Amino acid sequence: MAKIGGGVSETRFVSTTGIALLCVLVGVLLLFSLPRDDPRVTQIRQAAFDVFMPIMDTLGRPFVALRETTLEVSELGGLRDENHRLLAENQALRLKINEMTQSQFLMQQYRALLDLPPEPGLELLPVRVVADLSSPFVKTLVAKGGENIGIEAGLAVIGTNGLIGRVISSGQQSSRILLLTDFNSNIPVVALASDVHAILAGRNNASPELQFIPRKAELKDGDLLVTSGRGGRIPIGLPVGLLRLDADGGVPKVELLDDVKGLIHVRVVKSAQIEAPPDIDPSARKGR
Amino acid sequence: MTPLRRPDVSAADGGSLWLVPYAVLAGFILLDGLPIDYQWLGRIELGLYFVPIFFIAISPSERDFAPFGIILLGLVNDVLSEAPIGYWTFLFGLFYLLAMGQRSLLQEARLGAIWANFLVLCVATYLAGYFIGLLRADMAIGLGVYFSSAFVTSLFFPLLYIPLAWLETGALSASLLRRDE
Amino acid sequence: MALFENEAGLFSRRLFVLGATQASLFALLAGRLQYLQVSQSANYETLAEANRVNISQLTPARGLITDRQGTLLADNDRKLLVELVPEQIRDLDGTLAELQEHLGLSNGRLRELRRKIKRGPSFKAITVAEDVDWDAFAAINLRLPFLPGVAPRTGEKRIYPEGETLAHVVGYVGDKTAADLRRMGRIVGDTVGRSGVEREFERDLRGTAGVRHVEVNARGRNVRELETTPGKPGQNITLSIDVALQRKLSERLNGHSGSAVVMDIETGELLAMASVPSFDPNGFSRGVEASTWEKMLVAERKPLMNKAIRGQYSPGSTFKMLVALAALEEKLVAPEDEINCSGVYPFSGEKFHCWRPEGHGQVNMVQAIERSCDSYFYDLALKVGINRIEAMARRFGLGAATGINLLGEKNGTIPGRDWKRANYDTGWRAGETVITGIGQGYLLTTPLQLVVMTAALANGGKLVTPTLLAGQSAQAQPRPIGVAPEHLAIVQQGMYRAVNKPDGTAYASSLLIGNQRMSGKTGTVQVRRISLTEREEGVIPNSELDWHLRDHALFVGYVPHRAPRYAISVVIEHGGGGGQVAAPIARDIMVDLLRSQETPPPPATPTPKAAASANPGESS
Repeated sequence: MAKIGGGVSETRFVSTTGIALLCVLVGVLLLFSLPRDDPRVTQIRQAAFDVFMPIMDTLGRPFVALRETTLEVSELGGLRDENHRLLAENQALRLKINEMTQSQFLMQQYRALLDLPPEPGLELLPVRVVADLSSPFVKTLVAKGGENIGIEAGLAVIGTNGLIGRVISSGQQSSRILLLTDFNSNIPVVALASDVHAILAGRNNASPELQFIPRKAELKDGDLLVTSGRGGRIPIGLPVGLLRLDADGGVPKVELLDDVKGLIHVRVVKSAQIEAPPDIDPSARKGR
Repeated sequence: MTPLRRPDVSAADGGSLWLVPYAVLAGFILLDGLPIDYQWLGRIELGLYFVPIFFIAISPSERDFAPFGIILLGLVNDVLSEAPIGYWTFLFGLFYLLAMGQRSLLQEARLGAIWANFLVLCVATYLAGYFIGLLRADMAIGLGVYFSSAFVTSLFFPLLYIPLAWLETGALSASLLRRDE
Repeated sequence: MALFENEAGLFSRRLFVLGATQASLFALLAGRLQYLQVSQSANYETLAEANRVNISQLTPARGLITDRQGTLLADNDRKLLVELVPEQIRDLDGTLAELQEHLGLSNGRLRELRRKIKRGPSFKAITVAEDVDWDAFAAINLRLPFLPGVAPRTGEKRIYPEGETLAHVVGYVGDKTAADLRRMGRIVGDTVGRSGVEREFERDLRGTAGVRHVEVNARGRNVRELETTPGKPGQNITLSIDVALQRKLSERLNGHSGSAVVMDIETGELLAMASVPSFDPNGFSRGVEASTWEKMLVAERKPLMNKAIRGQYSPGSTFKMLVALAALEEKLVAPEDEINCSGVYPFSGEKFHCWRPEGHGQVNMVQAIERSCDSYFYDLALKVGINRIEAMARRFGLGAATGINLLGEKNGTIPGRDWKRANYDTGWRAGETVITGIGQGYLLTTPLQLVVMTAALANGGKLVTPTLLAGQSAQAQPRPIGVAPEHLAIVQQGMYRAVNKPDGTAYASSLLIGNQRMSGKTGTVQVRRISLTEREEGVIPNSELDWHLRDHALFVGYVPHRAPRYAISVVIEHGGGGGQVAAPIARDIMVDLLRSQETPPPPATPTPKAAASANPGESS
């Protein structure tokens, strides 16, 4: 029968509205009562990702495959040029490898002289990104693989060229990666050419800022920033980005080496804790 | 354009057809997390979720399940999208509530009117989202982007709404036919 | 059924009306929105932004303080802080434990933090640790996602490269307090000058605040910088102090308790002003523990006190020149008039002793100054009378603050009849005039007053206002005090002989740089009463007395003797004899000063270091 009209319907209309209203109220309540940084929320999220991971993984595969195919097809055209470029690069790299072998040998000798423990090697765990949760709120990724393959909170994560973020929580089979661009990301870095220590702080946009720069630091535009290993947890010397000075003297920005958008394959850096060598005190060395 | 008169599915035997918009909504929630680089969108935050919600809300068939289902999916989106818990729950609920108010009005309306209605509700909801973002979270996005997002989202409206409506009508007539036999 | 349908029809009509109204309302709204979007969007976007624009003050860089050659005396650096916003903390115990681990906080500090968190407003940031080293700071930054409520920040830090050497002059800054806000109104930044130049020139040094407009979200996080109006940094201040001379002076005074001041006699610029023992202002700007502070406050030798302006001592024999001038002005004696000093001067039934028990024999005025004969001045004081002595002392700036740009200067005391009546409610006794004649009794002067007095004796009778600022002498013109040049010449002759003749009390401290010599006058001030029996058995030497019973050693002087330019006063508390202790210090300083003048003196300039390497070929 016609549902619209009857007295029963009218009350039902009100009651459904009532239910909806109540639900909205619950939303508001949740929104303003649950603290955002609550560790319990993080746990719930992590647990949810563990549950949804397989679904998202499966759902994502065709997209990823499609994207990779498109990339391959588009690359096909430039194959000859690419080949030439790579050959030239290969030659240059061979020279570099020679230099590096030498440096490595020297470094070993120095470490022995200083009685430093041998440098622990970096173990890289390749993982696949199943979800990119970049939104106005956060810049995080969900990766396939968690405690089951030894991923734990705090580990650094690198992309093709350099650091992209670090693991902030890990579940059984998934882990969450906080990107360098997130507001909550603060990584101690050092500018190589000027030897200035600072903090790379995410701003929820594409280019993080360099903060806490010493007063008399002389920064160079385009300087390479690498992780300084200060404060532990993140190994020393992972490349991060290039310094971009603000012409008006504002806060310097950093152009990340890796585009953190649309990442599919990343590597988690597993290593024993590498402490920074004890004799480098940035404050003692700079501007004092 | 002809009026998009939607049948009361609950009156007929639509089977589990009424679940389709919910499934679409859930699909969007999951799809949104996929590591796909929507570079062509720029800073626009596409809210395709709102189309199935709108569809559910203005459906002449009422289900007590609807608000619960929508709120539940909002909660799931909160968890999966790392938004502050309650953000999407509230926005989904708010949108549903606003759309419900238009239900009787839109029963006989043409697609254009429905579309315009959707746009207005979208703008209102995005505005609410913007203010919640201000109040609650680390949002680095301008009001202008929010308005544009609402407009861009509404551009997709007919693409999703018409198939949903056709599906519903088609299935219904099929079921009615079945009953007639 | 029909009824039903009818009702339904009615209902749909009502619905239609309702819907139409709603639709038109929406159309209106949509139209309005479009208007806002299209024509006013820019306008409204800014407005919306204004809602969440945080206007914060930018603390301007505090002005630097340099010496006359541009050597930095007070510099700025950043310091790293860690703050805590109580309302944002989720897990207090965990957060505090983590902070303790990385910042090395003591359990006491932790308890203090808990108390502050409990009592203070929850939105107000609490400083957890200051001057954090980079490693700890980096560790905290890394853990921020797990430590809501913790906020790393930078602050300003003042550095005093010269440390103890200039602590009393330059002073130090401290965290601002409610009292400061009452005193000075709104203050930019966290610190204010607490003492010395830092306090005196607070307004110049502070500069004006800049304004920074930052887009913030509701949680106060900066999202984007909109526009910044940089503030005006504080003015740099160039002091008249010559750091090399100051260092030498501090070094020379080290181990004693006392002070010394070197001044340009024409401009009043202070080239050195030291007070020992001293303290490290760097520690103070970081904040001292209450116990250390209290210890320093009650310490016998008062390290916190700038004795050059706050220490009050009887001038002793350094006062005798003024008594002589008063007598000459009234023509009560001729300079060549002699008296016989037997070592004792009897007056109204009392015996007043000369410092030399066997007496000085026949002495005239010049000789009396040269040898510091007490008997001569006992006699002279009685002839002149307390009123004229008081007047002359005041003309030389004693008994009143000199007006130097430092807070807390003492006036000293110049006694007189009215003063005695006001303070003791009794009349002046003639015996008191006698001891005032040798600069003892009620007389009190500060080392700074003594150097101003000496300058006036040397510069032909002009009273200068001492200043710590370089090149600002024109602002306070020296004031002539109307003393006849021929009278000054007599006194100057006595002072010359006191240092340069074998009978002079400071002969051991004579100096000769080129053809330049020093003139001066010693002073030894007794701080205890010597009993008759002790006098008969022989006065106990200072070295055998407890420190606080020993004599104060004083010296005032100027160089060069012929065309004076610089005056000095030295006061060593309980140091013993002025000739033995104070005069050698003055000599060493003046030797350094004269030597540095041989190479052309670098002009006072605010450009750091540039002038220090002045071309020796130039003359100035």
